[in-house]
Parts: sequence; structure tokens; C-alpha cells
Amino acid sequence: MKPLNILIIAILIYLVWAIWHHRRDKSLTLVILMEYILLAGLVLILILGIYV
Amino acid sequence: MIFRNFFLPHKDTHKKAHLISWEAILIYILLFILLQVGFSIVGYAKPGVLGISGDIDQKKLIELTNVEREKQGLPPVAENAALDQAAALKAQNMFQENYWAHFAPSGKTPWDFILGSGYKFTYAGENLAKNFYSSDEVVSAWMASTTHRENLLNPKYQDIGIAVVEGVLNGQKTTLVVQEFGTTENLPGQPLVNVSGKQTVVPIQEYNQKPELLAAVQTPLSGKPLLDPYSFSRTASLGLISLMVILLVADFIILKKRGVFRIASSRVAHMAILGVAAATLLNSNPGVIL
Repeated sequence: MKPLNILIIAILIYLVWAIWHHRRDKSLTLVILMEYILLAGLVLILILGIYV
Repeated sequence: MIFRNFFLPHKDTHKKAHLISWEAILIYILLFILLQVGFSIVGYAKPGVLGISGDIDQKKLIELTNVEREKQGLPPVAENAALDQAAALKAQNMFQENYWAHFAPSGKTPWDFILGSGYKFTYAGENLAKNFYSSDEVVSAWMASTTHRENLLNPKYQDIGIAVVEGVLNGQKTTLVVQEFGTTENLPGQPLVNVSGKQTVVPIQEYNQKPELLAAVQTPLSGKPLLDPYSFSRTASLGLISLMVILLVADFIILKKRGVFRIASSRVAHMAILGVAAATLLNSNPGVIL
């Protein structure tokens, strides 16, 4: 499997886990959700910067 | 704004350090997008300023190819001057027409270069590589790809020709490697060319008509590119990831010492995804094969 595919799967797991964890915890706020989404976006941009 | 609050959680409100806040992450995203846009603009406005300069040796590539063939019990391929010329013509044409493919936008085919250099093959093949730093990396990449490996280890081949040519492709300086294989031995059926794992029959009229090709003119390039965009992006990315991980660890330790619980996103999850990104960056290589 290509490294980029592995990273995309990891990002999806990270986001799904984050929503599941904070919903269960009743701590899901807009700021917390935004942190996860932005960090996922940052990681994707860092990797795309060297692969594209 | 107190300087220490950029790196450590606030001493009264326990708010996380500014550099790991969502606002900071948004700024990092914008900066990295700007960096990539900047590279594209520089590549367009000043071709050759950016690029990757490799130290690839033609003879070493032939030697490594034969080492791989011998490992499989196959006979070695001998360097052929006509195939060397075909590879050089192909590389030069890729720079002239600015493309990265086996078939040129103008319609030139891989066999045009092989036949044009006077090599009357019955079976031939082509492997391409660019943006590699060393000869070993090129052969390892070909061996890791099923289609290129099959080409490299094809028992039908007797001859090899390789060209390592530096030039500017899509605004960036690069080193192109063209590897041509062939045999002139009488084989049943029409002449075939193996490209990207696909065997293409060479039309007989094209085979009998030697294509007119201009001689490869080596345009000497002055020095190395000023900046390697791949290394720059990789170093900057790894630097940012390290900084964020350090700040997340510091945040965890300090809040634990203070005995404070803060409703926030998970540091462990952030560190895990940053770790995956760092591992991907560390294992990456700008080299591309075709």
C-alpha cells in the first residue's frame, strides 16, 4: 500500500475516533472539532507538499 | 501577549500554548499552502532555480541492473551504443517537449528513438526515472515496481542503453534516467515494445521506416539548483511536527503537575497522527519512476 493511502486511512481513523470519543465523553465542542479537522488538514498538506 | 504563553499553557487560565492552538494550526496550513504556491511561481518565472540534483552514474546503473539479473540467474545485458543514443535522444526530447511519459505529446513513441538510432530490435523495453539522488535508489525503485522489475528481469533482452541527463522539466531542474532494453535476435511474431508492463506491437510501416530524429544536443546547465523544494518542504514539515509534539508533551506534563483537568482535544491522538506524518516524511523519496 502506498504511504499516501496509509496516511489518508490514518487521518480518517483519527477523525472518526475523535468524534466518537468526545461524543461519548459529552465534550464535543466546535473548537475541539475544529482542532481535529485543522490538524488532519495540516498533516495532509505537509505530506502532499512532498508527494505532489 | 506574554512570550511564554506561545510555548507553555497559561499559568492562570491553563489555556494551551498559542503555538498548538487551532488558530496557530490554521496559520501553519496557510503558510505551507503559500510555500507550495511560491514554489510553483518560482518554477514558472525562473525555471531551473528550484530542483533536485542527483549523483547518478550511467555505468553504475548498468552494473546494478546486471547484478539484479544475475541474482535471478539471467544472463547480463551488454551496453549498446545505439541504445545509449536512443536513451539520450529520448531524455533530450522529454526536456524539449516538457513531458514525463513514455509517449511524447507530439506523437513520438519509444520505438521512434530506438529505431532512429539504428537499433533494429525484435523486442525492446523502456524504464524511466526522475528526481532520484543516487543510482542505487533508481534501481531499487524499479525493482520495487512489478512492471519495471519484469522489464529489468526480462530474459529476452541482450542489450541495454542508459542515459542520465540533467535539464529543466516543468520549471524544476531534474535528472532524467532513461533505460532502454532490446534484442535483435530473431523472435517469432512482429516486433514488440514493453512499456509500463504493456506489450505494444510496433506497426510494420513504422518499423521499416527509420524515423528522422534530431541529434541529442546537450545543453550544459550551470551548477546545481539554488533550492531543493523537496528537502526544504520535508525539513520544514519535520521541524513543525517536532515542535508541536514537544509542546503537546510539555502541555501534558505541566497540567499534570498543576493537577488541573482541562476539557480539550486528545493530546495522544494528536501525537499519534503527527507521528504517522513524521514516519511518512522520513520514508519518503522524491524519486518517481514510469
